[in-house]
Amino acid sequence: MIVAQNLVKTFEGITAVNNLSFNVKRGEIFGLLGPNGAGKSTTIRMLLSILLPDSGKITYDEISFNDAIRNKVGYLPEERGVYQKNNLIDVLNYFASLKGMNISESNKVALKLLGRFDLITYAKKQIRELSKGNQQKVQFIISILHNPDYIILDEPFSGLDPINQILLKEIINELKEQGKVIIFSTHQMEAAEKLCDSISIINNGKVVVQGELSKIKKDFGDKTIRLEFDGESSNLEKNENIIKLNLFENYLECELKNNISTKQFLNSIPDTISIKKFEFVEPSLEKIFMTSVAKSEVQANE
Amino acid sequence: MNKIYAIARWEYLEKVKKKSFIASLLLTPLFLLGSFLIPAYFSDKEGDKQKVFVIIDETEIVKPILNSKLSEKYKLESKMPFYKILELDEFGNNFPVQKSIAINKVLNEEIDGYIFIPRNALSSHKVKIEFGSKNIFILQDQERLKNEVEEILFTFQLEKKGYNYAEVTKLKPNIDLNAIKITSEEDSNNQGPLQVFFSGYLLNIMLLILVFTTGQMMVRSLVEEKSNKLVEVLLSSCSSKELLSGKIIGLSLLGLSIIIFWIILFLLASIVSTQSIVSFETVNLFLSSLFLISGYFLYSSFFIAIGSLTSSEQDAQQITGYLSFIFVVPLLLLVPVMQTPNALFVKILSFIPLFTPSIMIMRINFQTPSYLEILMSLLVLIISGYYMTIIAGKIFRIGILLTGKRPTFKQVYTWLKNKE
Repeated sequence: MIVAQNLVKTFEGITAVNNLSFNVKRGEIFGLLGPNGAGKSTTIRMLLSILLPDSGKITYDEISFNDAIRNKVGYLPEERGVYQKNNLIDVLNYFASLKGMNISESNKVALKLLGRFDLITYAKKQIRELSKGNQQKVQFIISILHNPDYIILDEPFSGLDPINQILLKEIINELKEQGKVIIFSTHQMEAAEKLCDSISIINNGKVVVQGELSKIKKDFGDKTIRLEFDGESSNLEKNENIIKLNLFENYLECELKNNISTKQFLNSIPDTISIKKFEFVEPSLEKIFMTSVAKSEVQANE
Repeated sequence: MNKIYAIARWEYLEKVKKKSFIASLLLTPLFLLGSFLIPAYFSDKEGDKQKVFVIIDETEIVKPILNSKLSEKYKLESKMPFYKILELDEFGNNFPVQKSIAINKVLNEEIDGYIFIPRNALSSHKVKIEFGSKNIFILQDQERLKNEVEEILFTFQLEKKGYNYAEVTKLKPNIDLNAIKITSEEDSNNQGPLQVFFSGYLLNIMLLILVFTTGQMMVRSLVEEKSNKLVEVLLSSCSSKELLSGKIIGLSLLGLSIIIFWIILFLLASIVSTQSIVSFETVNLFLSSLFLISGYFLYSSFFIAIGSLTSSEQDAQQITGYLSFIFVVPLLLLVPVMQTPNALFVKILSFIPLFTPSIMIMRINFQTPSYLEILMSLLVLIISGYYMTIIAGKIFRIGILLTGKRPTFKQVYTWLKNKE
């Protein structure tokens, strides 16, 4: 389990990460979400001990970061690029050796992974001969080659085509089943939504929303209702139980006031409208993201 | 330790395989050899082009003798006379006109030059002879013409006094000055001034090329690692200290391989060739190598510090450009250092770490300073090399994560003040 407690990091007076705490269990995928400049990369760098926090503490299965843990961490940075003029297999072996693997062992694993990622024909080729997407796959291989316990991925999906995105998701899920601790940051809410068990949305270095994804959705979404109907819709516009309404011809999406139950709402619908379909809508992660970030901006400005 | 080894190995192998490395390894000795041999080859071979001169002789006695002497003594490979004397007889004894015609011909490049012998040449002891040509650096021709005219005038004076020139010249001792660099009794092999000069010069050029090729490779690879964030992957696998140590060791091994390769090449060349262009004394070569290696160590940490501050190829090139001044300064001082190796300013320069290697290498080869001085300056160099690695480490740790704008001196200074 990775536990981060009250992390704070400032750069020349600007607080990049402000009192951030989270924990990620084995077999769990944790999404670190936030707009550009939110402090995601700084947090990741602190997790990897590339940067030291000004205050706060990070433990890996109750141990502070040390050389042994360094060998058990796999990391995929956001910017992509590998040594261009070297052979693919040499580069993979080099990075594996930095994680304490011997060459014969790493060679075996590397070839297996290259096969999985359909790159085996490039093993002896210079990396610059690979396409950008393939180079990205190489970097992902580097991050998991040494069978790490803790995997930290910064924007793993950006730049990959849909087929490779699916492959990557598959592998991440496999890693989860193997009991790895997986943390990744992304802008792609759709990917996060499908993969993450828990998330933390941060903005300006502060946590805005955090917790298990399903619970966040539930908390956020049990007041959003979708209704299909026949009849005069204008009657609905003035309904006092609604705070937010998107009204279409025979269809509406609305959010109920906090103290209003679904039953109260249904009762308040006039008889001139016949309900054809009624459902609760789980908000998309994207919606949660947009709303919570916007809210935090407003709070910050106040 | 294993990681340092892995990094050093990678850095070494990655660069050894580079074309630019192989080029510098092979081409440098060839280039150096060429720069010595080619001019020597051309100046030894007089060339097959005849030179045309006009002789304006107010004495009217010197010219015919000079004419025959020149044509007898100096020949082209084809046995034709080297000097062709153009006659301006049509102007008779009008010497000012002859001279102005000659000047015109020089300007029109019809002749290579003229020599003007004044009337008083036969009577006065101090004679001024005018040598006019477009290129006043044709020293060989000037020297020859001067010597020949001198001899003719001397003969004339002798005969006037009743001596026989041939007899007199027999009496004239023939001295061949053999300048030998004296070091220790048993080791005073024939080191001519030119050889000593080249030895000091050669070692310096070697250091320069060594530092620049490998330093630039290092800066370039650092910039690459920084710009694609590979450095973060590296730092998630090893500490910045391990990374820095591995890089410095890899770079040093690279330098060492080049030095060893060059030494082997040099030894082979000295076995093959009978005539040596450079000559080293064993002790001096050993001392020079100490300075070469410790200097290289200092410079490589210096380059790594600089490399970790730059984030673009352009920046890197600009900065290595500035750095080249550090190496050019001692080379500019080559002649003064050679002439006065024990002057105060030379001694002071010997203790400025960045200059120490080049200046001391020159001094050791020109006029070996006292062992105390050698030891002291070597110590200063090694200590500053050690501190440079610490400074480089501090700059490296932070600089390597920075991208975009180059940090200011003030920022770097605050990093240096940080104690971990």
